[in-house]
Amino acid sequence: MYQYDQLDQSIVEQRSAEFRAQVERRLAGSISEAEFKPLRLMNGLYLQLHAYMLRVAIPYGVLSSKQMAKLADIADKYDRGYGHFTTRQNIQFNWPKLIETPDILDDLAGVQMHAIQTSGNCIRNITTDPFAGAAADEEVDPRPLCELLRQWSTLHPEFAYLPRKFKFAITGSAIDRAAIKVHDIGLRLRKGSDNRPLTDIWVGGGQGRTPKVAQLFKQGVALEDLLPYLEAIMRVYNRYGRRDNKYKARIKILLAETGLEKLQEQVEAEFQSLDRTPFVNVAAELQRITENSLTPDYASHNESGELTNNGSVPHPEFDAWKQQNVKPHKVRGYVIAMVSLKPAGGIPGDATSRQMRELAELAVRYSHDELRVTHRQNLVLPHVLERDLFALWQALVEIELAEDNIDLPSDIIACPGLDYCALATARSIPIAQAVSAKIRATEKKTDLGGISVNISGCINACAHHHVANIGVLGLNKGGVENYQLTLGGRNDQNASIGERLGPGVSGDEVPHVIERIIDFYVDVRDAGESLSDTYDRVGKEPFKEAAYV
Amino acid sequence: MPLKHSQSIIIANDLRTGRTVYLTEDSRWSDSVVDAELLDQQDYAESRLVTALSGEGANLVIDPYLVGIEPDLCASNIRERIRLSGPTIINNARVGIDQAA
Amino acid sequence: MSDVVRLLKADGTVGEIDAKAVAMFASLEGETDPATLSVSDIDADILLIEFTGAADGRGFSLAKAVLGKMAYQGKLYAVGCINPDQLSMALQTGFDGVLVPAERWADYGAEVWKAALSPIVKLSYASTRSQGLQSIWQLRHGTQS
Ligand code: SF4
Repeated sequence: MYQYDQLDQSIVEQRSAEFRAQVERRLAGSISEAEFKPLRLMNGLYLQLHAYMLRVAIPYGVLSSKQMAKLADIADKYDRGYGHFTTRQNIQFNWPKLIETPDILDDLAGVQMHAIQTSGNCIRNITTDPFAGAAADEEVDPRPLCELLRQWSTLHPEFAYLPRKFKFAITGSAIDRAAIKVHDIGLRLRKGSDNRPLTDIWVGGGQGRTPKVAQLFKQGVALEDLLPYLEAIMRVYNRYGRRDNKYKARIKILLAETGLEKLQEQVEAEFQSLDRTPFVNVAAELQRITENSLTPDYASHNESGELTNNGSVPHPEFDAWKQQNVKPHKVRGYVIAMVSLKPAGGIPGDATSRQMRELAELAVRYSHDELRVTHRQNLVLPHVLERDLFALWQALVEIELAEDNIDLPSDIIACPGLDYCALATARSIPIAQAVSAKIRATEKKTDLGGISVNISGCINACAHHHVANIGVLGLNKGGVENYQLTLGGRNDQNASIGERLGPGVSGDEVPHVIERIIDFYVDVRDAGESLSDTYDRVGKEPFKEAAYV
Repeated sequence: MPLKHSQSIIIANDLRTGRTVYLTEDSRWSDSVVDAELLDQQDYAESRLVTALSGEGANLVIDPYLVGIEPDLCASNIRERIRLSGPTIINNARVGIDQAA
Repeated sequence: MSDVVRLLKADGTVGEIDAKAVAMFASLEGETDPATLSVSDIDADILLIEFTGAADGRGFSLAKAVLGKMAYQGKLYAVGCINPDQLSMALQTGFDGVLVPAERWADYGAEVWKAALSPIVKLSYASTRSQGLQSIWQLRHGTQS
């Protein structure tokens, strides 16, 4: 993974010092809340229902053991002993104090972390495949490009005040684990004919009030042209994107209103006339980033004498976990181990400080010091020797993180909802808890792979409910929480937006409705069909009949 | 804002900590709802809101407003109810998570 | 007393200009599409770019276009909705200073305005036209940008 040099280090330290000065001005009353709010938001500090909330960037979801341990320390020292991992591969702390936030930022800077641009109308933290650099099916490792884009977008003066927030996602595999088609810009890295990486640029995906699947905007952009081309897109968006209505301000609306061809022309014109001198160092920088990144020394772990389950003792629980949570690695003898943060009845994405600290330890021992955060709010140990798996699993059981439900329906994405979020219209966490508690038992008996359940607490769709096989959206109907269901969404390379099933139901009914939908799917599915495949084949009506009794 | 309920209280966030606070009879901000001053006259409630807004001016609190409550000190609106009582989450899968007080 | 506008320059000097004189300067709105501009629009010794909203950064891009593509050689000043916390971005994108009406000047105070000229964050990744700021990519690779 990428290692800061002194300059990267200075910029996060300076930024933290700058925020400390801004907080002092606010406390002294020399700036009002109206003036201070955009400044704190640019540093990831929101004001929620009960307290401030600090969103810490985990650039492209990659964490070292040391960073994970520091997050645990922050949770204990300044918060309430836990953190919430988000769909943007970030972590949120729910109870920080304003007066302590500069100290938190200093602590983060100490481990090469920050909260820059985790909020506000700017380019947000860039997300990628949580298996980047490890996946067996990867064509191009997206991490150096992610880091280059992180640097380019950090404090970019032209893009600090966009019409609206702006999200990038990047993948380097044909199987899209980064949901690039529901981002403002999605980048698909692939190998060109001469083995040099090329990028396909997808534009205008997004969720929220008007969900859209991105359109293929430009194919086969060479790396040396990529940053200028992205800068051209950002300029055109900044120039023409709507500022009169925040619900129409995303680039997806500009694309819909301008039309693909016209927008491509505008971007092309900007790209052709753009001053390329700011980018003369890009190739050298990309090279430097690659050289400044630690690559695991895969051979070094080969001799480790860890406890292994050599199969002589049958262990069905371990086997089930391995079957569900372990994915192929590009290096022989290695695997990718996924850590579910979705215990039945638990809070999706939450981890206690103890769990974070133990995971940091396990990463030292078993995963070349590295961890990842997934956009499904789980964690990953990306480089584990297959022979260490049993020992790893045993250690995970100890800290209650061995739930074997990755990509099963109880692996629910849920946003904080009305329990924390000031924008929420309904709760989402308690619904997720009830649903997972209910379906976990069925899951253990029947194969329910290929069903995703995502629950958002308002139309902002932070939990990506539109692109779930089963999406749940919490609304407020006359002061009462009401939940709308959508079916048939997908967030992979075949991204699609789910369809609204019918009238909303109460929170208590949600688990039952979902269970009936799943039962119906199990009854009628063809071999290998996901719930969305079945939905596409049989249509809405039969699902609707099954769901509402 | 006319009072929709017979009684209300004034709620805000403490600037320094962000925590929910309540305006008390002696014009302090308390982090306990039982200290909140119960306002049952609309005119008086509005004059108290002026006091509360001066707390915002003095950089003590953010965004004070009136919340209508029921006789059992429960807000009638779900959002305000959760603001008053903290997250409703019961964590039955993990230990060690401090429930909001 | 007629209205006085402060001119805070990147070099730290503060001047005073009569508001009526400011109104005579050539001026562009921040949201102007650079593609619609011709050389005659910027044929001046002093050019102002007006920020019309606190949450609109298009004036920064316009500054780059005017100074870069259009090779404007005169002085470029920011006016309008620009506050001390945004000054560093103005300097990075090539403004020579900012014009601040008396009331806005007093709101923040001379000290805050002047302090904003030497921001705490002294680095940026990509290129910068500010004397007080350094480009990390340039420092790393030594190439002009
Ligand atoms: S979806 Fe709505 S309720 Fe959930 S976190 Fe996002 S803004 Fe808050």
